Amino acid sequence: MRWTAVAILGLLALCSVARADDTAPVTLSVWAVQATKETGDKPVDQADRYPTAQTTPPPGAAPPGTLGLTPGSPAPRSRATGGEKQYDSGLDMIKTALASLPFDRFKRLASERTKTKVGEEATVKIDSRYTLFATPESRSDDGRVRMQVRLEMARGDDKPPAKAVDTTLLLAPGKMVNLGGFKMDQGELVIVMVVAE
Amino acid sequence: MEFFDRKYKRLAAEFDGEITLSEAERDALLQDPERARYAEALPALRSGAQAAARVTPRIEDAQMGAFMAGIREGVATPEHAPHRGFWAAVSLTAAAMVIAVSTFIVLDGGPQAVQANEVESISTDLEGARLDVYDSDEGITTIWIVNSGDDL
Repeated sequence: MRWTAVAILGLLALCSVARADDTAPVTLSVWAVQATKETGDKPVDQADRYPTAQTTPPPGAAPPGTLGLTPGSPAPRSRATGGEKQYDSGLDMIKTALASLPFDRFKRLASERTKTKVGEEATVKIDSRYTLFATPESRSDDGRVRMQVRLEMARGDDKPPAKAVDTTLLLAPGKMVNLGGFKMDQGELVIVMVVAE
Repeated sequence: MEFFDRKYKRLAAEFDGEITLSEAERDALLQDPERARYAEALPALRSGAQAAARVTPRIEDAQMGAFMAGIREGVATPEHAPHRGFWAAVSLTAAAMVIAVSTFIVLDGGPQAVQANEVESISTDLEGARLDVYDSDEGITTIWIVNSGDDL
């Protein structure tokens, strides 16, 4: 009877350990990229890049549905006139995420891999204007991580920073997320995030 | 109850020769009919107690060995616990089930991870800006700000 009780207690302890992954730290990789078009200095037209249902696609643009995007949703249109896209070193892992964007040149501004406990905030300083904050809130039963992500943009000494985007995401391990379209002095800021598997 | 009454005790003590009562005290005690009947019964009580003492079994020296062997056997024999084997079997069965279920849970590797990101909520403080969300076939989720203007 004594050994039976010991065996049962040991198994219960094993089960509790197996379930302890719910609060394990989250490994988050973040890349911040300055995306520019090498063909000319003028910025990409927002309407051309991101047409709504009411606008007609610019000439030469790929017809809807051919960029591998969900049919019916707005899609970025590439205005690249030719030539391969250029990626800075260290961006090999996220080329897939950047390739569909309508830019020719991707310059790495910052990259960071953080291991953050659930409930703690990770900070990624991108440049003098943008700072990214990411807080893992919980792990769902299906293995995804609920994460609150906030990109703050400085607006000068007198004004508090603005939330350029404030979002709560359920991130599947290994699946990348793009945050983009934020203005920079040259080009636009694109942030790629992925939670480690 | 008579045995614990002081007056009855004095009658019994005089009968046993432990005390001597004066005639006046004896007469006073025997005036009560119950105490008088008790005093008359004392000789019969004595003879009956003596007879009982005579028939009390004794263990002779030749019987002492067998007597002690019986004592030891009684001490060594454990008390019979009815249905003890049944509960032991139930406990072992429950333990085996817990082992099997726990092993399955641990080795199963947990639930399969969902293959897609999900945007639960999204907002921006930038006036006039719009945030659009779409997913690619490769499972890449894109959140794009449109018409962010110059909010600096």
